[in-house]
Formats: sequence, C-alpha cells, structure tokens
Amino acid sequence: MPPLKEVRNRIKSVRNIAQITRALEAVSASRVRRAQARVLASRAYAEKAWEILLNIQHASGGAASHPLLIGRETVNNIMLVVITSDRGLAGSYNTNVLRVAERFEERMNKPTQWVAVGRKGRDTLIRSGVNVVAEFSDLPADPTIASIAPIARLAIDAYLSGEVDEVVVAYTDFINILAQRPVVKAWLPLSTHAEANRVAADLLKDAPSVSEGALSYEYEPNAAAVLEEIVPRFTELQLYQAILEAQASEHAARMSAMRNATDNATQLTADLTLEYNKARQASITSEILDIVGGANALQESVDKLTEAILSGDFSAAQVKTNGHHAVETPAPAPNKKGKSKKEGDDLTLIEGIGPKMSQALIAAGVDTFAKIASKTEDELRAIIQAAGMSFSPSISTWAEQASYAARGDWEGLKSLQATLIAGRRPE
Amino acid sequence: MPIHVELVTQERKVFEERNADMVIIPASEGEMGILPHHAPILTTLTFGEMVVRKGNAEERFAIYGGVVDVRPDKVVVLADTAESAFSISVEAAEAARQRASKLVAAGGSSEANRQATLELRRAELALKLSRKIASSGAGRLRILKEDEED
Repeated sequence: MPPLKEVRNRIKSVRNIAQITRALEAVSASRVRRAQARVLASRAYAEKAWEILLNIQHASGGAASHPLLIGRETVNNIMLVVITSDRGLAGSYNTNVLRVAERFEERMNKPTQWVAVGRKGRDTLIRSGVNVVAEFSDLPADPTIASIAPIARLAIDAYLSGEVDEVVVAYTDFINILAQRPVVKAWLPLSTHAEANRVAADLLKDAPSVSEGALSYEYEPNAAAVLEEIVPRFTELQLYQAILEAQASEHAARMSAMRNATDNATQLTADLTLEYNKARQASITSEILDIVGGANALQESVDKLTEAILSGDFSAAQVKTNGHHAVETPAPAPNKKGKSKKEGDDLTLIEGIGPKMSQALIAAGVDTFAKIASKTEDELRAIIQAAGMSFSPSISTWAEQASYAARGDWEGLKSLQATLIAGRRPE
Repeated sequence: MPIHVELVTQERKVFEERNADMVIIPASEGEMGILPHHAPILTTLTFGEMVVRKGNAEERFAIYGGVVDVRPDKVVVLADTAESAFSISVEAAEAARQRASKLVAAGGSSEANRQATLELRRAELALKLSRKIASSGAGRLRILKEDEED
C-alpha cells in the first residue's frame, strides 16, 4: 500500500489534469461550431461556381477554357498539400491525415513536392526526409480567403509554370462532430484526375456533383471573361474549404481526445480515491486495534483493582500493568514492619485503632496482635482511658480482629472487617 | 413569377430573397435591371450597387466585382466582396479612402499599386453609396432580412 500522502498528491495532480482537459474540450466544442458554420457559409459559393464552370465547359464544348481547367496528358510531378494542425492534443488527427497523404504518394509513385500547412505536419514531414518545398503555419483561427491566398498562389504558380502537373490536397473531411475522414482532394487541374482516380480512388474525395445545366447561356462580355473571373476564385475557394474542413475536424478531434482524457482522469481519480480510502481505512483500523488493545489491558487492571478494593485485598490490588500504568495502592503491605515499630505489630491494621490509640497500647505494653487478643474489652478500655483518650466504640471488636491478625489470617481479618461498620458490628 | 435572389461571397452567403420583383446589378457592360423570365445569361460584375426590389421596399448592396448567373426564375450573384449599403459606415469608408489614396500616391510595386487602386475604388464606392443612402433619408424602406455580420 503506497503512503497516503503520495496517493493524495497523485489524486490532486490527476484532478488538475482533468480540469485542463475539460477546459480544452469546452473551447474546442465552441470552435467546432464556428468552423462548421464557416464551412457551410462558403459552400454556397463553391457549389454555384462549380455549377457555372461545368455549364461553361458544357456549353462551349471545350472551346472556352482556362489553363487551370485543362488536365495534362502525362503527369510527371505532383504537389501534395497536407493540412495539419499547429497544435497537438488532438488525438490521432495529424497522424491520420499524414498517413493518408503518404499512402497516396506511394500509390502515385511520382516525384512529389510537399507543402506543409500546419506545424505538426511540417515537423513530421521534415523528419521523414521528404521534399518539403514550402510550409505555412499560424493560420488564423478564423481564416479568410485573403489569409490562405499565399498558399493558393504558390500551388497555382507551380502548376501554371509546368513545375508540377497535378496538385492534390490532403486534409480531414468533417463529417460530423464524432467522425472525421482524412481524404485527398484532387485540386489542380480543376478537371478530372484520371490517374489519381485509377490508383487511389479510395483515398480521394468525391468531386462535387451538380446538374450540368441544360440552359444555353449568353455570356457577357464573353465566356472567357466569365471564366477568367470565376476560375481563380473557385480555385482559391477549394483550398479555403479544405482548410475550413480541416479546422473543424481538428477541433472536433481535439474535443473527443480531451473528452477521453477527462473521462480517463475521472476514472483514475475514482480508482486512486478508492486506493486512498483503503489505505486510510487500514491505518485507522490499525490505530483502533492499538487503542482497543491498550484499553483492554487497562480495563483488565482496573477490573482487578476494583475487585481488590471491593474485597479489601490490597495485595491483589497491587497490579502492574505491562509497564503502561503502575496502579499504586496507598495501602501498605500488612506484614511490612513500620520503621518506628520494629518490635511490635502494626496495630493500626485493626479497624478502630489509629496511630494515637496504637501508641497508647504500645506504651501500656500491648504491642502485638496476640496481646490485644488476650485482653478483654474492659482491660483495653482501661488502657485507653489511662492514656487520657476517650472511649472508642470499636473497642468491642479489637480482640476479635487481633486474634485473626495474630494467627496471620489476613483473609479472615479482611472478611471480618468487611462486615464491620466503623469497627463495630452492625446492629 | 417572383425571382429567387442569392448573393454569396467566397466566405459566406450575404443575402437571399425568394420573392423579389426586380434585381438591378452592376454588370461589366453596364447596369442591368432583371425582371422575371429573363434570358439565361452569365456576366461579370464591376464595382457598383446592387438593388433588390420587392413591392415598395428595396435592399441595396455594394458589390465589388464578381460574376452573376441569371436564369428565368433565379439570380445568383457570386461577388468577390459585398456588403449591405445600409451598414456601411461613412467614417470608416472615408478613412479607408484616405489610407488607400495615400498608398496609391506612394506608388510601390505594380502588384501593391494594383491592390491599393482596387482598395481606393472600393472605398470610393462605399463612400458614394453611404452618402446616397444618407441623403435619401427616410425615403427608403428596409423590410427584407439580411445578414448583419461583416
């Protein structure tokens, strides 16, 4: 059993941890809601823009196009943007998305430029020695299109310059507060990614499906101008949404991780409290046992003493109790000779004879029990009166008491004395 | 047949009205008044004012570029940025205009200069619209709901 103090300290520290994790959980819960609202808010534009893009491509029969829309025949290099969190304590959130990204890269098996968004992903990627061309961290908690524009710019430039032929984004899709799915989203070009679909369809997020409009639009000023306006915005938005989804997922993952931590801490506190109480109970029990043992020993000696006092046996009353308390009785041993009465017996043992009476008797030559026993009541009375003392009512029993004492029958004397009141036989 | 009007930006849905009578948009080729049963058209937008009319009430927005998808029963405005003209603060707009005009005057790289010029145009539009609203006074009616954020 560990010491009580140690258990108490552990309980305290576990409680503190629980408090922190509970606070983090609450913070994450409110952030999830905000991030979710933002995802939904930006979805309207994305859907509309995608619809318009498809419409234009459909209507123009591929004539009106934009460099970001055209896929390349052969894919030689890819860029993989991995969105992770800046901070930890989010369970397996970062690990999961990184694993999916790595698996995708393996399947594609092409030279890959990695772009790390978020400190956690950057650290892991750099450690694993892959080609990290850029990293972005400290995105605001409430990102705007403007705040993610540099990331989009980097990818778009790399794609347009022909440095890479495909850009994909690995992030965590927010399904609901309890479920998040790490996915890879084909980003650039905005058209279909045949190869990625072939080798890693299970990792890819489904492209948004919208009805290709049957409407024949008029374009003003012309289709290309409309595309020029909408394609870059839509491109940015794709990334923006991925980041919003990732942020919502991060907070949700952190929330569940912290909830688990809080639950575990609560469980641990309960276990430790049980252990603490057991230890405490054990120490109390042993203390009680000590006290009871002591009390029993004491009670035994008190009982003996009481019995002795009641029966008048002072020799029995002199009980030593195992070194706890020596119960001292004031009664002297009956056979112990007083210093001043070396020759005679201690006459004061006879009830009714005090020190003065005893002196008077000794002065008259009556200094032993035997001598008292041999005297009549009248003779004794004469001695007392001669000594100038007043008559003692107990004198009638002196001879009788002394006869017991003279024989050394202390038990008999005691039982006789027990029946006497102030040295006299009761009426 | 009423028109279903949606005004969205990349970051949020700014406004939606299912039963509008008329929409005026600042198309790049000139202002367009759209009534129900309009021919399908996709057009780019310039900086300007968008007006949504329903009965005798109207809602006004400052639109800073974008695209509009017009269909017989629906108008979807994908704006780069947009805000309700009624929520523009004259002071803030004036401050933004002065800041932007300083930046334009200071010059700088072509990209920075382009940004500053855009900023200036936006501030000027915001200022113009807010003054217009202020001078029209009680004549306006705002019965349509809108998102107050931003």
